[in-house]
Amino acid sequence: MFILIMLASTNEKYKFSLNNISHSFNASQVESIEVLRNINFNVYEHEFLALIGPSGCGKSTLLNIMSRLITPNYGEVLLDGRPLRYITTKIGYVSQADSLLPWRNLIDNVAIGLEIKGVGKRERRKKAKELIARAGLEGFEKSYPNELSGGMRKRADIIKVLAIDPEIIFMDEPFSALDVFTRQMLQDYILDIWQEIHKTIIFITHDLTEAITLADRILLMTARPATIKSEYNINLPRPRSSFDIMFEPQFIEIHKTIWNDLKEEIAITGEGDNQNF
Amino acid sequence: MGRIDPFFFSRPSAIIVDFVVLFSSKEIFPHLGVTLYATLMGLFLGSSSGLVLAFILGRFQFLERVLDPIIFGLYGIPKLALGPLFILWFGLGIESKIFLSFIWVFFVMYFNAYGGFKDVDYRLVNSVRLMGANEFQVITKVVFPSSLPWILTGLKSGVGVALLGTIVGEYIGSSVGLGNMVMYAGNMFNTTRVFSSILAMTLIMIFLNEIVEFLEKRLLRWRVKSF
Repeated sequence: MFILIMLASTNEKYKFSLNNISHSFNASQVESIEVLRNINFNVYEHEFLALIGPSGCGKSTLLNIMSRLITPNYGEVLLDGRPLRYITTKIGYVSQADSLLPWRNLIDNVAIGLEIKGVGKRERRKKAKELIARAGLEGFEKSYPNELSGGMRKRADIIKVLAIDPEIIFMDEPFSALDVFTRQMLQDYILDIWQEIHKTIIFITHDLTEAITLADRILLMTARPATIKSEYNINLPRPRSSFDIMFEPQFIEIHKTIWNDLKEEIAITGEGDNQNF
Repeated sequence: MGRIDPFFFSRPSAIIVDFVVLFSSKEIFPHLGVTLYATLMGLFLGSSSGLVLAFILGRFQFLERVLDPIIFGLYGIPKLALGPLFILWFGLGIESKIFLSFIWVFFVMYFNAYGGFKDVDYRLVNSVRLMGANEFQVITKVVFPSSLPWILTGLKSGVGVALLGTIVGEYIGSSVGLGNMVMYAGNMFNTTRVFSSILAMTLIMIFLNEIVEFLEKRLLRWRVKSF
């Protein structure tokens, strides 16, 4: 009894936890694909956590479970130590694809979260305008998404989430569709934001360099069925810069270590693909 | 004399003169009024019910599976052949014209709007859900705006068939309306009048089309011009 209470209270100090999450998709009536197997991890408040794994390992499924878009077959999602059963605006979600509404101009896209909350037009536009200015998108308030570049749209996606002031931000390979230069600029942008607002961020990526550049801690996922394979603390000094950090000896060393670990998983995914197709 | 016999084709000058006379003598106004009224009523009723049904079927998969084949089957019925039946049901008055026009518009709007609702990007729906949107907000902020180009295309084609339905209805049996005017003039071998009535219908079409285009320009400013 006493131990149970202690366990419960230790859970409280984590901002976000996954307990024994397992999930399968029904490929057909008889066959089901096991995507996630017994995933456990905890995220501290203000932490920048990166989840990394080979492509197709179920990272996006995991994020969909974490944000409650999908209910897992088994296991529990905890926010502030309490089970999370519904979608909540305490969590902000930056998706892989553009999520700007093409029929809304930039300012109304950024303000949409506030609009959904019922914030008045003047107030939400004022806040959106501030965020747009801070993101360096001034002058594009009236532009539609198709008039903005990929990098600008991604910034807009991010500030759209910041506008609702979430406690945790999930990012699902947000920069995977961008070119290297834009990507590095946006990594710096994320680092700046995080330095400033210091929110908990869970960042999913398949780019190891990106994960090391950004995160305090990296969790490595295995090939499907995915589970957490290993954990690395990244003790590189902050504030970091995506351009300079790559040449630090410590960075290269960490990169090598994790890469060797990751390599095995990529080899498995490759073999698996050959068998399936 | 030229090679074209004015008995069959009339003359542009005569048509213009007759057209002006139709207006200056006010002879055309009752016809124009009735046809325009039936067309707009048919357009309104047909597009609103087509839109509502498309929305319901788009939303409830079960209904969709049951009803969609039936609707498609009904669509295959030649509506022209139903004309006499409608006149039997609704009489020679304006109701039968509105109904014929309504049926025509309904299908056009239904198929377009249905395509639009099916085309909504689930990622955009998810993104607003994650921002805390309820079902109503998902519909008003994503589903409808996203389907709007399709709905407006439905409206545009609907305008054409609305007028068609009305004229056909007037043709089958009526005492007033542009369709009646054309038929009467044809029976009298008054080719000039036939053409000036057709000119009036063409102008109605252009006018209604302009309205829809205006709506399109206002509401779809965000669209990229692809070609």
